[in-house]
Amino acid sequence: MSHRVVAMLLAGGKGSRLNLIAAKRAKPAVPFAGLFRIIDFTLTNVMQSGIRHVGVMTQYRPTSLMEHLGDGESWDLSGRASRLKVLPPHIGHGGSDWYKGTADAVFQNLRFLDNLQPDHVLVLSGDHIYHMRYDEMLEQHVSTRADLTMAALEVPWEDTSRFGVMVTAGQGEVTRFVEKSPERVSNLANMGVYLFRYSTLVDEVRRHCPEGRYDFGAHVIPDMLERRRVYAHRFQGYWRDVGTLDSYWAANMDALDSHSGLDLDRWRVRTNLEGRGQVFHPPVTIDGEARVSNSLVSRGCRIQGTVKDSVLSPGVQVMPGAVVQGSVVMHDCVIGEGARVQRAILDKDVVVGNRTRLCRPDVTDGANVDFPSHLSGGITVVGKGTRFPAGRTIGANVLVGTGLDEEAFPTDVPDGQSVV
Amino acid sequence: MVLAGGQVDSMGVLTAHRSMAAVPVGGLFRVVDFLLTNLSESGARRVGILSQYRPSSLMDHVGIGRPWDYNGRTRELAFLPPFQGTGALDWYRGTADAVYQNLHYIERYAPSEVMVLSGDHVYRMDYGPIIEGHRRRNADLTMVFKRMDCGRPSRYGVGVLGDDNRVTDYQEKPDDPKSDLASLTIYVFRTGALLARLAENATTGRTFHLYDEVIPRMVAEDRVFGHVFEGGWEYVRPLAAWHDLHMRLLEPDGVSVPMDHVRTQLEEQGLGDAQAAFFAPSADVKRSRIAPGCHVAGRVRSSVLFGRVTVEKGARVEDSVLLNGTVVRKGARVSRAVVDKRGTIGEDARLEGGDELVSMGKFARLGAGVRVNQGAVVASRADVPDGTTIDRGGTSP
Repeated sequence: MSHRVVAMLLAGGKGSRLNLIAAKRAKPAVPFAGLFRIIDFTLTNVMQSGIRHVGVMTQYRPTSLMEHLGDGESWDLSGRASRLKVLPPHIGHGGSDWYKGTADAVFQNLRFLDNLQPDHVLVLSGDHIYHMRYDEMLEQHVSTRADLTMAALEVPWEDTSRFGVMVTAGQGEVTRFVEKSPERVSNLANMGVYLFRYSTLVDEVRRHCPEGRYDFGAHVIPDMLERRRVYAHRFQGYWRDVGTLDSYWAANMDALDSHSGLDLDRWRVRTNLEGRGQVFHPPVTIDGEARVSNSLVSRGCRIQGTVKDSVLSPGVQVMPGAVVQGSVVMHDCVIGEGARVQRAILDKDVVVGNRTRLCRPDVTDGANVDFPSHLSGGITVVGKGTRFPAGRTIGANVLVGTGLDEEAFPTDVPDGQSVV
Repeated sequence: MVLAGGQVDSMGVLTAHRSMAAVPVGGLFRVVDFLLTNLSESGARRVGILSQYRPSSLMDHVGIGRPWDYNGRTRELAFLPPFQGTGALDWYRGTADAVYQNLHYIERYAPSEVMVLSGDHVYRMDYGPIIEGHRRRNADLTMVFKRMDCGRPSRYGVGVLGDDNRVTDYQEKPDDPKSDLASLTIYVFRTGALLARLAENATTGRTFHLYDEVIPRMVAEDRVFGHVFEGGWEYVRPLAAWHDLHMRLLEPDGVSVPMDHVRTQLEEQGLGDAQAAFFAPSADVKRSRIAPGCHVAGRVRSSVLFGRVTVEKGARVEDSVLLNGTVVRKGARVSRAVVDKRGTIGEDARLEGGDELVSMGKFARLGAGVRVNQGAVVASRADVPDGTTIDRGGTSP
């Protein structure tokens, strides 16, 4: 790439709609599709697009994320000509403190960019599942002599209110940009992938951030349209914002079917396997009575029961007679003998007692009473390290907190309840 | 000092292109991973690997030792291949000679003890207590034994222990062993004693091997002690034993050496970005081990599938070990087979062993409808045309 590009990755998000799955870790660090974390997809895109310098702007509970990133070696971002640098909020000139928005995060790290003197800056968010060649976007950006190129995806019209949408003209110039509006302006959604000419980016964040206008989507970009050359770059393919429990669960299920467009084999997603002793795990062990179909099963899992339509992270044990179906089960969970786990998301280290049943899949009404907007699709979600006693029934749309022991479940838990 | 150089003939296709230490094992590992994990966890900070026979795949795998934490200023792993130089001989004449020619490596660090170990065995051991015992007894050499049926003649070196585990007798592969203590080729030498004995052997030796020249001499003249190892030990030779090890791996407690918590190198195997194993809706898998990146849509019974193996819908695999990247096309039948990496078994082909295994070298390809019967060997890189039959004793073109 003759044009030098630096990627600035926004990884600060508190994934509040992912509820307790993202309560103790930043959203980009949430495990996905067995082995990966959400941020791996964006970092893999960066690596495969030939970008050598990445700043990762962290804010919310960054420990788990920073451990995962390490020095960037897993994505070839270490060495003499490459760099992955974690950019936490800092105190400096003028008492800047927390990142107050996407543009502000870049504004507070202009010094990092100044040292690198790139031609263009790619601003990314670390919480989407997609596979994209940013170098193709750069080609268009350079040939249109754009100040800003935004990646855009056609979405179904009924979903447009969930996204920022843009109206384009002629060669793809963006003439109008509207953030999350019920008004049906366009179905061309903003993917949050921004490629700025470096000088433009510096001018724009310096212009807006001191005025309290901290966000690219809400403040900076709408204001740029009249003054700058802003283009849309059409992306076609799988792209998901996994910011809700339902979308997170559904995207994991998409990983089971390459026809969904989420094709892990073809994408060759890279991750850092050093965490949690994954490198020590042996291959999957399938016992004589086991049945495993339509599932992703990671290293160190031992399957003695039935696993169907599910995604298992490393080290999960499914005991004899247990059934796991339509579920996302994270690292080192134990599903006891005769237990049933259906349409559930279990965070790491959950133990399901013998014969305990989680979630009845026939129940899909009755959202969670405490978090109706987070949990209404019939999924049950269990926080890290919780241990269920034997013989309980836990309903659908139930939210179970982190680190609870057997005594927290003196009785069955009906649909839509929370135990925290 | 790791002895990883020897040429091994009894492993068939698996050692045609690699040393014994580089032979894959357990679905994800190579034989040497066990030794390197032991060394790393026992706190050995400098490791020299003496390699001679086809070292390329071993060097690719071990690299500079990073998976075993051999990096940084005080932990180092180095390959010590044969070299030419002033006065130095060329090829290693034997195991003692291999160490002798690399005395410069030992002298550079001036350790108090030097361990010499074979890289060909599968076991887990903490060498710390052995070295402690060695120091407490002020030994010149401590060698590790295991009680086992040594056979007549013995397959192993056999020792006899006296008071305080002093080695009073040692014979290499005796016709009539005097004890059931087999040497495991794990030696701790006092550095001074080793240097003196190697210098002596360099001028007086005939075979230049530690086990039949240096060790018997030291047992006769120096302070040599034995340590009896009680843990698990697995032989991976010959090929039938290697296959049997993988079959036992599928039984609860079928293998005496734990196969978890072993560090390996996945990048060189192309598995650094392998996803979790995928079981298609049509998959039917029982009693098997399935490594990352596998894609199983067919029927698999009692088999070990290494990384990125594909078993298509309608294919059947049984009692077999398939190494990285093997593809079994639809309608194919594979049983009692060993397939080296990136082999292809074509549609409706039969690769079926019986009392004798069938084996296939790396990158070999069987066309559609090929039959390979028990006892046959398909050479590496062979491209067997559709419809061919290869019988016992036969080798592919």
